[in-house]
Amino acid sequence: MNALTPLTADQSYLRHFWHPVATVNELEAADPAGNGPIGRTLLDEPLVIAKLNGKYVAMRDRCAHRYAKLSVGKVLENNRIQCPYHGWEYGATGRCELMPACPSDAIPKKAFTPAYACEERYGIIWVRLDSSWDCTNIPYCEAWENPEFKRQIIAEPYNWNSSAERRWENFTDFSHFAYVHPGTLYDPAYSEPAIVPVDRVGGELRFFMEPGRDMLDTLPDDSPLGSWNYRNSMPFSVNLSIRLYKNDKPFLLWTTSSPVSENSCRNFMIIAHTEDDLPDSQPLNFQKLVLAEDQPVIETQPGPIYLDEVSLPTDKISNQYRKWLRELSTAAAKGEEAFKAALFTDVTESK
Amino acid sequence: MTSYVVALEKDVRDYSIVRSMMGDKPLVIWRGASGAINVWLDRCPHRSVRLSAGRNMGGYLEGVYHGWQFDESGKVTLVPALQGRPSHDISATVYSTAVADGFVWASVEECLPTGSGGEPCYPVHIAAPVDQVRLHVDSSVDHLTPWGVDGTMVYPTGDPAQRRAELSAIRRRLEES
Amino acid sequence: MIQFHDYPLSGNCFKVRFLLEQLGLEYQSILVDFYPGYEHKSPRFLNINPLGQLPAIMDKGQAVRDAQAILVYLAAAYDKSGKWFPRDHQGEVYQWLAFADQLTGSISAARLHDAMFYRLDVSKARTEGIKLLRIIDEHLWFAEKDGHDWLLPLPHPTIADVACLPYIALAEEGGIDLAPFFSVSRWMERFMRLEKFKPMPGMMPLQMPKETP
Repeated sequence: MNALTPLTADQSYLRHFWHPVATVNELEAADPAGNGPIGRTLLDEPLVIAKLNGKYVAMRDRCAHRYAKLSVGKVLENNRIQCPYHGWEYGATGRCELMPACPSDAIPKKAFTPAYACEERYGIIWVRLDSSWDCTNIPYCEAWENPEFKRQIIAEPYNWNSSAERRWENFTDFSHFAYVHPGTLYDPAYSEPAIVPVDRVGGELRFFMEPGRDMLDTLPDDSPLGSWNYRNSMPFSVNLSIRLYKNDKPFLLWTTSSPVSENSCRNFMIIAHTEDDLPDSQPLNFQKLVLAEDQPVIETQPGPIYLDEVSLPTDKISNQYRKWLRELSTAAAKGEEAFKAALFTDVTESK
Repeated sequence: MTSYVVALEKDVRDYSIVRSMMGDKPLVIWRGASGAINVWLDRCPHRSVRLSAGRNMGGYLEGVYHGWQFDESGKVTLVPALQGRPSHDISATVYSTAVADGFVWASVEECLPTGSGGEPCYPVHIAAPVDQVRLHVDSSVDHLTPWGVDGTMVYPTGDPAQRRAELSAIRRRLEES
Repeated sequence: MIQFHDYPLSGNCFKVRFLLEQLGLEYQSILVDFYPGYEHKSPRFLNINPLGQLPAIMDKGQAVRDAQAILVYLAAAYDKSGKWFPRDHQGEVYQWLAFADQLTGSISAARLHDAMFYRLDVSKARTEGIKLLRIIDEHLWFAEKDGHDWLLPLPHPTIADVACLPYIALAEEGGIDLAPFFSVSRWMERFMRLEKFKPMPGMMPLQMPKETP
């Protein structure tokens, strides 16, 4: 039999990272007050997301009483989440604070649901399931940092039946452009990407790439052709800062994939640009086309990455990424210090 | 050791690709310019994309993700990202194959077709394990191929209209039980 | 000129776009932001189609909505060859157009659930989709056996094929495996080799090689 060996047998290291779970817009769409609740899944764990006392909270989506989903309940004016079944009320710490059937009884110790670290940044709600080591940061995004940007678009997240690892690799894979995106991102005549230096700096995988300028003549105007500067926070974030060839202005494509389960991911995207009156739908629609070209191909891959896969020198970015994921997984099994060292020890190849 | 029917020969046409299964192995089946039928594991050795999502160009199979070309022996003869160089040490997983009585057979080891009783007709997928299906069908006219853990592809022979009705009834019974 | 309210990721819009191009008709494409903009539920679009569904066309001051209805309308009004909506096979054509509606209710629903976060019973949608795939696969197998390549026993495709194709070709985006449906796969390949066929996003991006290179 040809049994396959997964790249990382132990996925628990991912619990130490911040992952996006929903946009603030989504929470507002679910409830006009913007308090939620909504249900989302992160690393196979169902979560209820809500805003209580002006602060975002994430808890396991399960009432301690009869395991009903809290995300189907509501946020009350007293800033508690109410279970839809028997009306138990939970506060921001995840403790039950009221059992309506017996309001004067003492509340049992076990009447709680675990609450996780939860923050809002870039219009996105982030969750970290394991904060015991407290050593990771919310991924880097340049959109609000660069004053040249006049507009930041927070796209509606989209789901793929693929893993977050595969999604990240697809986003940073140069040699598929000619096949999967002929005429949108790349001219089929250019199928040989350069092999570039790859650095590890501050928990980010960084590299720089300059696609051929001649493609300006053949690609659509919306195609973000330019020099591409990547600062990708591990494990699933990409900050692609572009200096467009057509006008020498910056353009940002930022994406972070959220691992829902081994075979599914939810993807967040921010686009930033310098135009005054470019309708949001224009860059969004272009990205939608690109994504729809990738999706059927990537979904034929199995979710987990396998060590058995053959790699070539032109797969350098993917190879370096895989190596780092593996190191992080192994280090996390050894403990906090090893994990920190694996994540924050810089390795620079470029000058 | 076991050889399985994996397709009907007439269904494997020039410039097209057929997907099938042999137990837990997804298969890509294609007829090359030589006329021979190739049965491979449906997984690109590079990034595990389904080879069946690619294109049968006659002389070679082309992967959809990065455009790798595989010749009829399964070898990688062209990698576009490597300036079009071949990579002969990389190969698809190729299975032993034979064509007999209108069926395409394949095996992980040497392929040895067993006899069959007549004209092949419409293959029926039944969402039940192969041992259960075996209790209900006639092994002298039906070839059974496990399709994952919970499925079976029945490659029947005989009068198509009659076999269709018969197998549909079995399928409903097994799937609804 | 025909105004076509279009969304590039919609299989129903694909049907209309495909036939417009096959018939060589000039049209103006008006993009409607279906997801995430929900523009098909906006007052502007509800004036054109009160059901708030894509696609819709405006032709000679008249609105026609529903993909299947538009196929019938365009073929009846503009196809001089009579091939796309053959007069002597109307019963069969309508039968497959109704079948296509059921594909929208099952396979397309599963795809909306997976890709665009719709809340619905996805396992029910998949089971129903698989049932429909079996029916059409069996039909196509026996058609092939009689020497026919298309849903109708004619030497060319009709609007029946156009109506059924996209949601079947997009089935895997809804988590439905097409591998057990050999005849359906061959029929899709034949369709994708037709002159002027352009895959929509979500279908495999590469052009199929022609059988006679």
